[in-house]
Amino acid sequence: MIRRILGTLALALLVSAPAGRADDKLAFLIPHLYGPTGLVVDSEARLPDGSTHSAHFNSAFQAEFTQFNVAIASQLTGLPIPTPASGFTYTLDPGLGLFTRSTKSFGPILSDRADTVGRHKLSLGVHFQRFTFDKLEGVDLDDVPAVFTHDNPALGGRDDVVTTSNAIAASVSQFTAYLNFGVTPWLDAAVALPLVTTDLSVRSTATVRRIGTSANPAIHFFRDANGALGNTRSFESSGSASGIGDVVLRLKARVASAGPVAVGLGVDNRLPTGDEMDLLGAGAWGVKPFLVVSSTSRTFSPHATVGYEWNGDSTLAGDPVLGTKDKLPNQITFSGGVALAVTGNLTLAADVLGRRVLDGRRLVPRTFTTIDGRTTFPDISFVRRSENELSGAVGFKFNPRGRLLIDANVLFGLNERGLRDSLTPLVGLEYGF
Amino acid sequence: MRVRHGRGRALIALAMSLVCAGAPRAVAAGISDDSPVTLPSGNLSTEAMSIRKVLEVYIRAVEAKDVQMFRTVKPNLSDEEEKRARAAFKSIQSQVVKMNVLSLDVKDGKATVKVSRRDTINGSIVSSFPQTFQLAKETAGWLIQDIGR
Repeated sequence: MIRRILGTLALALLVSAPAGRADDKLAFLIPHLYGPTGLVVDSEARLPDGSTHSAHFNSAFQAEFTQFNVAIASQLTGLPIPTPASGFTYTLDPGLGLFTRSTKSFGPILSDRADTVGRHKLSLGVHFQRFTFDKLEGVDLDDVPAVFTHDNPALGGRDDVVTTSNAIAASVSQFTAYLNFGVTPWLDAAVALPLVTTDLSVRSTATVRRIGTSANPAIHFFRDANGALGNTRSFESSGSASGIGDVVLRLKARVASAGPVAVGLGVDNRLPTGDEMDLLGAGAWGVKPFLVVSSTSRTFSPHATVGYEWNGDSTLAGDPVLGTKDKLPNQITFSGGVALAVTGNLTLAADVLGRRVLDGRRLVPRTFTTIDGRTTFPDISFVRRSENELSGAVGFKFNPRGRLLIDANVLFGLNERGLRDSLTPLVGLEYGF
Repeated sequence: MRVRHGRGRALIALAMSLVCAGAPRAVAAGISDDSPVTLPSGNLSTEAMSIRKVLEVYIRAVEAKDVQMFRTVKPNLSDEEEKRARAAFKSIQSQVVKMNVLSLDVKDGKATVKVSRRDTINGSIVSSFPQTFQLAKETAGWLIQDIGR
């Protein structure tokens, strides 16, 4: 049975093929939105040497919006692995020689507990999560404002700007299969294999704002379909990619226990198996040691974890167009919650999941003021700083029969930091052998 | 008439088959190799066989999740222990027990049996663990006094 499952996983890895040509990759979708040379408006103006005026405009949106790629990658690295410890744990009552469920609770869904599954025991699971992102740093993805300024801006013609309203639709569907094996009574080894589909589309409506050339619309304009000098033009691009995400290998040990309280230590190793240029993986190694403390009382089981994730260099954190890499931000991760056994076959779980992304590139809304100081437009910029991203999760584990568990959960934001989905559903199955 | 004759034969055949089916099963519970309790080789004394039967009933009680049967071989079960036993039986769907007797010391109506036990719970293998049974010979026969590691 185990060989068959491992064989299937290996086959899935082998058949996973990169999607599309190199320049079709999703990481290029925003940088290439306006074409390979960026946002260039039409112009009939002639330079003193007789050549055509190259009206090239720049913006943080295009230059730095790779942060969006990093945010998706970061989201992929932060996707919690549903706790692989099977909900079924038994202890021997030595006075009777009988086994009894050590806890009625089936444990948390997106957090973890110190318990291990037991020597030579195996648990398998599949979980499906779908993220449809709504906001980035509190900015509605349906309307991201960005102001493009002229090359070498100055009073006069170079004071013109192009304002854009950008609608970004991004979703990630993640189907994760995992296998957890009890190496010893206190040590578990697990592997999580995510299959990811990322869909991304961007629509940008650009409008020429003639701050310094109002008297001569021929200097900066968008030629419309009739050949007339227009003010607006829409740019659209979309793409989708599917494949293996970043495989995570986990070791977790229950290192101490006192009464109902147990302490566990673990380490997650994230392998860069997902194609980062298609936003299927982070494109960097990640190592996350973590500490977990949990209590396994009969019905009420609190748990808490804290970890630190070191990340390597990724093209997504650098410049996908130039192919340069930069460091994917490290993270401090933390979570806490309770699992409440309502009945012998139903456990409710509630968690607060958090991470502090260290020195990450962050989108900041701002107001742009033209050089003449008289006109303002909404805009975005980017800064580097550390932020806490907090999410809540509530769900249940239901045991219909045998050792089968049905999991359901919703994840929601508790603050507006990071890339956010208002409500992320999760459904899954677990089975312990 | 023929029909009645045939019905009588059928009833006799049915009764014979029930008798024949029951007889080997009664033997199997005592000494056949199908027993979940394996004694050390060569230990076929009367006392050893009697103690083995007690352990077999203990195992049947565990597998059947039957507290009353459990009490027949461990009558000193306290109310608190009975409550624990019921809770344990309720939390498990199926259990298969194999027991390997490592040593058996009988002296002055008392017996100490050290076993290695291997349980399969809900179809999942649980690693072997040692167990020690203290038994006493009462008028009703051997009964379990204490169970420990």
